[in-house]
Amino acid sequence: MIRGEHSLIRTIELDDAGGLWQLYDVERPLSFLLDRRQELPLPSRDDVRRYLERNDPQHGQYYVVEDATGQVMAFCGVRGGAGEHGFAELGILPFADSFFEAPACKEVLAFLHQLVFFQLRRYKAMAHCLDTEVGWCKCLKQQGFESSGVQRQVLFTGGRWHDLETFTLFRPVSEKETINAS
Amino acid sequence: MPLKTAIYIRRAEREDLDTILSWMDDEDFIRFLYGDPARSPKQLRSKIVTLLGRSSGLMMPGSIYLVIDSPEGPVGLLALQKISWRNRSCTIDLYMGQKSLRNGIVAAMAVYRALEYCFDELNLHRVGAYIYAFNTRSWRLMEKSGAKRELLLKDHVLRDGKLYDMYCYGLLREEFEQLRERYADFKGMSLADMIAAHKGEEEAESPS
Repeated sequence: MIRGEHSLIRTIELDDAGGLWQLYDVERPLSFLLDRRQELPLPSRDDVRRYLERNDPQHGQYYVVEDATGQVMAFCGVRGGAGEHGFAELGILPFADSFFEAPACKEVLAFLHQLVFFQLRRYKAMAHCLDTEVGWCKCLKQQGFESSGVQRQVLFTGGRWHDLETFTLFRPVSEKETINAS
Repeated sequence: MPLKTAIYIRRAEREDLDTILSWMDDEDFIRFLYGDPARSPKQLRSKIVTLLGRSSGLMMPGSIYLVIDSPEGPVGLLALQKISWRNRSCTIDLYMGQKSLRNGIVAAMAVYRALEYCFDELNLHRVGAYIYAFNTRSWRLMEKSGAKRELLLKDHVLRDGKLYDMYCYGLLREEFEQLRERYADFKGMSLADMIAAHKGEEEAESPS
């Protein structure tokens, strides 16, 4: 459990499945919930629970972000941390887009940064952003992520096509040196 | 789906297994293969057997494997993967087992026919391809097909101790229609005439 000034970050539990399930919403698609075919699944609560039972680096590590009162503000996570590749994908799943402008978001991003580059020792972090995820896109740019390009019309939901932008952040050189020295 | 040549594409079958497995001895097969290059031949064999077994012609499959066949036997494999029936999209991979055909019109026509299959038969909207930057022949082929380079993933794949970039291409239905119009004159042509016309086109495009 990591207690910040504005947030509390803890590992996800099976009891959180209902909360995560609410975020699978075709009216508000979130890129981090797309599957390998870039489809937005509509799982049952049991499906989400089964998915969380496999909460390991191979399938993804998920965390819950709470406020001071214990209210869940968002979920966050990292995928691809155990693969043969040197990169991992990170994402934040908030209940409201205003989260991306809240101070708690900065704490979550700092946590994910630490997780990807130090704990999982990846050299590259990646993130995806649908054209509707304006707040997430802005947040990534502020964090230093650079666009690798846009895949056109990859998702069809809500009666229209959506583009998907990919962002990349390499581990800063100074942090590489820190890791080597440790 | 015959080409106007002796070479054509068809659904892959279990009988193709031995031929496809024999291509695994080619080091390019491993080099261009996505994923861990350290996978053992046994793991690869098991994967290919599973993939061919899944290639059903009746359901709405998640992947379809097409063999590029000739009177002398199979010469290549086309894989349509990650088929999404909701997004009407898939990714395409081409592997030419016969090296002499890799740089030629056969590969180009096979990809063209596979794209026709994607758009005209499967009713897809988008075909994507993930290609390593060092696989120049493949990404040039995609560009010739009208696909746009949408992603440049820097230092994305490790081969021989070195990091290489990866490209992602996307071809939308309307872009394929433009390509089809461009090559409408090829309909009903013999292979020799097609090659001659294609060469003439390339010469006209290249700066003198």
